[in-house]
Amino acid sequence: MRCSSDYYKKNRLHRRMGLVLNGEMSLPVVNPTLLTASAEQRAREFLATGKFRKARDEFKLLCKQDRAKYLPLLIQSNLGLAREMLAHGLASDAQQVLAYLKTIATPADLAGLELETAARAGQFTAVLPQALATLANPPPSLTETMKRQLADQVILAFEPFPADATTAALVADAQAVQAALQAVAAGQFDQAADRVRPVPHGSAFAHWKLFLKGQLAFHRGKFNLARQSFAAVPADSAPGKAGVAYRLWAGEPLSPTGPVADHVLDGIGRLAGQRALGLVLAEAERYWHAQQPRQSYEVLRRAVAAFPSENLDLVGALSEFYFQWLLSAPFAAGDLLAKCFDGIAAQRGGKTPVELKLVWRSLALYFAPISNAVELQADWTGFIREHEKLQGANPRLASVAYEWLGQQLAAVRSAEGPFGFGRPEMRQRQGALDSLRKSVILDPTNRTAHLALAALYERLRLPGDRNKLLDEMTARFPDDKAVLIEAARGCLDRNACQKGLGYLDRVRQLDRLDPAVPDLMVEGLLQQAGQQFQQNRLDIARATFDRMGDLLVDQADNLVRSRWCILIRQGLLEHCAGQTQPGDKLLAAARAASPSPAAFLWYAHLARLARGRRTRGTSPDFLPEFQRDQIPQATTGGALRLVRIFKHWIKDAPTGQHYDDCQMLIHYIATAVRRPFTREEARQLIDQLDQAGLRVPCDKEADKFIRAILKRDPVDPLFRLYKLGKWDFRSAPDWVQRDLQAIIAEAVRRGDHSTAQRAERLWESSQRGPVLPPPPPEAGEDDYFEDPLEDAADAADFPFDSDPAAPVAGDPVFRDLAKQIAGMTEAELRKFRKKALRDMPEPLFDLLVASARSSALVPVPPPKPDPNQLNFF
Amino acid sequence: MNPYLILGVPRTADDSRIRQAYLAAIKESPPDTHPDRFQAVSAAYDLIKDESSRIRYYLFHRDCPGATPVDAVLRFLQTQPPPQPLPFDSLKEWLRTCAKI
Repeated sequence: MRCSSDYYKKNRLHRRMGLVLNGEMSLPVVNPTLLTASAEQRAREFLATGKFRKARDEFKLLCKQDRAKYLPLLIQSNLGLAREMLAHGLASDAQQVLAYLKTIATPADLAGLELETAARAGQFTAVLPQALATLANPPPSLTETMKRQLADQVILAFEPFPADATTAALVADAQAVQAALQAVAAGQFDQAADRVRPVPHGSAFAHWKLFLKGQLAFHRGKFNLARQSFAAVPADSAPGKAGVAYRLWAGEPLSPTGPVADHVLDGIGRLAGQRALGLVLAEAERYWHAQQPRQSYEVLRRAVAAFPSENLDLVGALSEFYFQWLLSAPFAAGDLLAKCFDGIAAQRGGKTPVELKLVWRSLALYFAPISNAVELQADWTGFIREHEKLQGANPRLASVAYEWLGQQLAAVRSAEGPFGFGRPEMRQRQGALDSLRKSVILDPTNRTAHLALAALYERLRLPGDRNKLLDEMTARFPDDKAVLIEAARGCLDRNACQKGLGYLDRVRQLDRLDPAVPDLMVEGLLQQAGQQFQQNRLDIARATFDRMGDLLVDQADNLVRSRWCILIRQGLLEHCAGQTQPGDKLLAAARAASPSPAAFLWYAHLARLARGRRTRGTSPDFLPEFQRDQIPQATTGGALRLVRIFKHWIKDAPTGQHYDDCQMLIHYIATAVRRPFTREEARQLIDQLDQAGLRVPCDKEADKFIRAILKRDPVDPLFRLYKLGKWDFRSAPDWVQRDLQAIIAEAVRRGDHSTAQRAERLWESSQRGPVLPPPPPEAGEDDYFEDPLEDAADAADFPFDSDPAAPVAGDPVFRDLAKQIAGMTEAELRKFRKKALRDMPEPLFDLLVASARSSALVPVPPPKPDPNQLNFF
Repeated sequence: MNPYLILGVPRTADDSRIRQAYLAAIKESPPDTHPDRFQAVSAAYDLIKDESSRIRYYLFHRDCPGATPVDAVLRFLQTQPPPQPLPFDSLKEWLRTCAKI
């Protein structure tokens, strides 16, 4: 059924015309002079604004009224139209306009245009005599651009020149340029230079001379000179346009504004010996600039048989670009191409096995941060499978690939649970173990895989496996520093200090300046001396301390090797397992050498606690003196040192041992805040509390410092940032985000770059969207995630890795409860659980326990191995 | 940038060939006269000097060889020796294409 508005309009018009013809309706009467004046004004406006077609139509009508007046304007409109058509590549349309112009204009009006149209239409030969004649006697209206275009037509005709005395000089120059072009093409560079040399600078073909100079330099490898020569060629001439291809090849930077012109890529393709690729590349480049990477890739995939490739050639470079771009692209942009690759991988539909292999690799690396364990493993094993199909089995490559997979699966993923109770988790414990074990088996010389596996055993608290592996490693890599140091650490962890010191001696022989060795050696010697004191071999133990002599330093802040610390430890050992008198002397010497009495007492107290369970005798209690004399005189600088000492001792402490000491430290800090302090001291203290994981228990005291500094300087960016530090910026209210922006602005204004960077990092994290719940466990992972013992172990495995952006429950009730839970043993916790679950949902209780433990830095016993863990290998 | 292209060795080159290429390249571009090139050559050598490094580079490198497809092509071409001149007919055809634009 046809019912368009056109039909209606047509009938209406017919009816109206019929009425007029029948005299039933009359048209309005208008003054003809007024009509002409308005039409002329309109036409002139069209001409002035470059609307040549409309101007032409108006002037055509006006010419019927006054030909003499309007003909020049009609010619002008047509000339404009023809040039516009030429500029848009519509040469045949321009020729039609030109044919019409010939009927109304004189040849002089059309001289330039006729030649230009012919040249654009590729009719170089036809215009040659006329072009030469025009160049020999240029009319005044001929612009420099038109002159160059005429010169280009003369050169590019490559036809015998007509014999004419008036054009002899021009012909000689043109012939020289043509001969030089032919010589360059034949590789006769010296001849080409000789040929073009006589062409004068003022010649109409001077720009061709520059082009040839550039060509000669380019093919001789003088790229700087080539760029300079091509840059001097006028851009509106044919050699100027061709020169762009040479300039880009010679290292001129690409314009960032848009795609490279087709003729340039055509030239690059021709020069590279792959003309077809140049043309396809132009299309791919256009898609790329239109932000359609997928279409860009697919154009090349369809059109170029060898694409994608791993060869070191042009196609290989293009292939590498697409697959590598994915890995460095912003996530949203990369996703466009990743979807294409994902489709290829899902259908196993690679154009070639090489493509499928490259796709698997890119997907594995691109999606690594967000893939679940099964996807990650599928991508990577897909790559290994395709690689083996193409190049045969390569155990070394497979070993490195599985090492990477193992490390990815062992990585800590910060969990983002409800209520902000974040708890870091290992991605897939069993998968990580299996991957790294497989890596070690595939290539027993893969040192980094061995080290990664040893580190994983340590994190998972599998000392038996770790020790066995370390022994194997020292046999396989007897002269490797990293392996020997790791083995020494393993020995010290299991109290095999003699063996550990042996490894460290070997490392020192390999590299006397290795900074890790002195600390470990001092720890080993301390351990050995402790054992000797316990065995009542006092002289030998003292001699062991003497062996530390050259390892000790006078830096008070070095809590492992400074003299005062070693004197304290020796003094305590003398007290506990040796003789009291020398012990007292040593402690007195330590007190004298220590940076402050508070530091001495605090260090000695914590060292005494650490040795407490292993001592036979007794040692003085330093705490009463500390409480009585030092706390009342607390200073912020002193607090900073005590926090460092506390952090040093707490790392290896068993669960809940330091709860009272933590309270003591809080008391000291609370006293210090009442005394004068500088901004720098407050900054260091808060940073140190953060680093030591003590910000939660010392929250109230830290707040006092922050408030005091903000009272002095209300817009201090760093302390405002500390104040905001409790928020999870990903789901914080708008005012927090506004504050964050103001902090960045203020920090930038003050030149405080580190604060600006810290705030910007938080700002970036706030822009990642709201907190999402962690992904649901995959098939086969249920057992792992549901095992409370393992969960608890994982929480304790990464005490220092908790997300700094995670919120802290500032509620005092929560804090007290968390402290209580943190100090509990497993048995106590089970009892408490039964009691607490009467009032609290079980999941909430689990979250509370995990959160309390992750913030309290308290290690818990190792997890039981889970027999139900799904084995992916 | 692809270290194989910088050193001018094939992907199948062994340790000794790569070392030879490296020594030749730094001899050509000593640090006092060509500091940028020297740095690039040294970095390239570090990436592929032994089999383990080569495997790790092959599997995990994330460098993109350009900002756009054409940029990648040009960067590749710049590592190659200057091309042979275009045959006369091809040059003529291309120049005429440029004249028509």
